[in-house]
Amino acid sequence: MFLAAKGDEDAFATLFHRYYSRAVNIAYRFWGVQEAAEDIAMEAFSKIYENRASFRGTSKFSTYLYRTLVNLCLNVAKRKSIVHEEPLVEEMTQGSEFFDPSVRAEQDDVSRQVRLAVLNLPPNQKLAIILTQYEQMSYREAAEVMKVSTKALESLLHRAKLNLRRALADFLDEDYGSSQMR
Amino acid sequence: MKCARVRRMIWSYLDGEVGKRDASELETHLSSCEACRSEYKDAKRLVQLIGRWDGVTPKLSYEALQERIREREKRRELPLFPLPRWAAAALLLLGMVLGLNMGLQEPKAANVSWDSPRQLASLIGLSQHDDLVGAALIEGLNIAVPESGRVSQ
Repeated sequence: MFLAAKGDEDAFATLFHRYYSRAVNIAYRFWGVQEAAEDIAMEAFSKIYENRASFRGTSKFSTYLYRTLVNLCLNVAKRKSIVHEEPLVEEMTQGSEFFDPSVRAEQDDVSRQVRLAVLNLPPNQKLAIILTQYEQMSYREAAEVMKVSTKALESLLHRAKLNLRRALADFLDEDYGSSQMR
Repeated sequence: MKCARVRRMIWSYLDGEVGKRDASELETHLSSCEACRSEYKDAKRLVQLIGRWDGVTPKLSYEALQERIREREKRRELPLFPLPRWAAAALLLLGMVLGLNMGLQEPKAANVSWDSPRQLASLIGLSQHDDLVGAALIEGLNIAVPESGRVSQ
């Protein structure tokens, strides 16, 4: 990042290639729509590019990127909550500006339900799940990205998992689990 | 280790966030406590379930980012008003001074006098083109107007 900060375009391209896919997937799991996710990830990289000269290196580039990305996700979520009273997931499944046609092709009922359960979590709980469960970040890293304490992150995770357990209760049944989870 | 502590630690244990010593104690407890083992299995199944939602492969490339950055830079270069910044600032300052000056001015005292309805009509702006029209209006509407008078404001 220091090379990129000094104007080295190749160094910035390397960072993009290394982290873009992860950034897209974080935003995707937050919004559930690939186009929106790529837009948010691109926006994060654009912002970082614009402010590259001011990068001080007090945190890792990945933390800096994910923090920017998470802020964008949360800001968009705030704006959307003003406009839409219904949960976003309802809109997505019923056809809205965020509707993703690929969802129709999703044959796997379990993964569809998991997707809906995660997307319906409150924003901070959802981020805690995305960063630790999907991106495999340690609690300390995820807390740093979310700018919360590790304790607060654990609390968010605890509540998120309770919510997920409630939403996915049908799939946690012993018999269902033993036949599907192998 | 007691059941309550084990249950609090199960998620962290599954996420690899528990130290070796605690992990070992938790495992020992699980091997002997059916209720906690069931809780652990549920938690493990949930973690596996969460993993069933696959990610996506990005479609856009670095070229798309470069294009986006170029667009943003172009937009930033276009000023809102085609004026140098110093000129815009000077105009703003001038506007503020003039506005302040006008706001601070007291209305001037005026002595108004008239000798006929026609003249009054002209004075109060009832007619912009022909004082006769204003006078006719005053007369037509039966507005009581003294033939002549004087008002100090």
